[in-house]
Amino acid sequence: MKMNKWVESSLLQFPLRVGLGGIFCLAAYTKLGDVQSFAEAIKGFQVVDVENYEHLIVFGAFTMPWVEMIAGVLLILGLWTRAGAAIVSLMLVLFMAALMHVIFDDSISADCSCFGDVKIGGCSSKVGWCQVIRDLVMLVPAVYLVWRGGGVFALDALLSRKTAPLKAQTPDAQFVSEQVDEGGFRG
Amino acid sequence: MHICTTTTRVCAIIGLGAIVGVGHALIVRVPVGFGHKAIVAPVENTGTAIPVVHVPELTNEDPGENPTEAPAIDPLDIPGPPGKLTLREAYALYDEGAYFVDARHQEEFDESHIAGALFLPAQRIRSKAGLDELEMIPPDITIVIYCVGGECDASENAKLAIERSGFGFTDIRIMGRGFEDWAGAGLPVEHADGTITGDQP
Repeated sequence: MKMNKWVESSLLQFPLRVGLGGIFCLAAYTKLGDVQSFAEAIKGFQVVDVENYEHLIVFGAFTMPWVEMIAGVLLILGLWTRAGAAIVSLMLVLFMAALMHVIFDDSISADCSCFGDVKIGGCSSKVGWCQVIRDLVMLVPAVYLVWRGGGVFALDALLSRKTAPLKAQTPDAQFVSEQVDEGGFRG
Repeated sequence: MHICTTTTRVCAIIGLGAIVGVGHALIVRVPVGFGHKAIVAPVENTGTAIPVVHVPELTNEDPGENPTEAPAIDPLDIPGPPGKLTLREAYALYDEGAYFVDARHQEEFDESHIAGALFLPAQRIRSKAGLDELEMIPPDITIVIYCVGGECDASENAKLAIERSGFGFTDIRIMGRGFEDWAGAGLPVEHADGTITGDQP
């Protein structure tokens, strides 16, 4: 049973965390390289009225990539994994809602600008169902990580071992304390 | 307890992102924005061969929308959004050798575009390749930007990007009607296989 957690961590949590975190870091990196383009993309989605709320679009254009970047780095490190994965899930849901808004409104032709210039997953730069499906595919591991946490190889596990090695208050801590009892984590 | 911690951390990450984002916004050299208030005076034609095309001031007021008796209007003269060229005006400039800039998506451009047009959407203009291409255009020549028309604001973005490129272009205009309208009116279109169809109206 305990071995299963190691297996789950090595086969699922670790690769999913690093993969998802990496994708988000890449997305953030490409957007931060050309914030103006991202701002134009947000404007193109026509969710926010540019005449009255230009500052809001500009604020979002600077903030969103940084939140993506921070969440991505945290996921890769396995630090605050659940929070990082929750942010990623929230953003994916938000992106999907915005994409649907464009898809269902025929008068809007918008650029996804999801990864700046880079094309990932074979989707074109123009908004379509391809991007919705891609986001949905990413949402699955994100929700899984919110549910299961970062696993054995996450910094979370290391930290909770240090702070609460014996009191099993959180699932991570409980798992870690079990490992500690076994001597599995000592090194 | 567990959910509470996660929620707090989510808020912390968003807050940190906002702080870093605002900090980033304060240190960028070129402020991000859409230049609504930027006044770029339409430079008068210097008496060269460019026909006099009246380019109205960009105002918010919509001059009477489309008249109800639309069928009477030649497709070439159907007005687009205020302040933008009709097909006839755009074609007159085309005929005089104005540079046409395509601000649509790469796939759309690859499929077909106005014959001789350059693929320069805003994002590309800000890239090295785009700037290199822009540098080749004489700054005193008329540039006409087009996209899919209607609600498409890619042309506005491209215009802003060209203005900010620093090459000193003096006459940048936007075709109010889209590429499909241009092609539909039988004006010159270059296809993916290199063939050019259409002719003057």
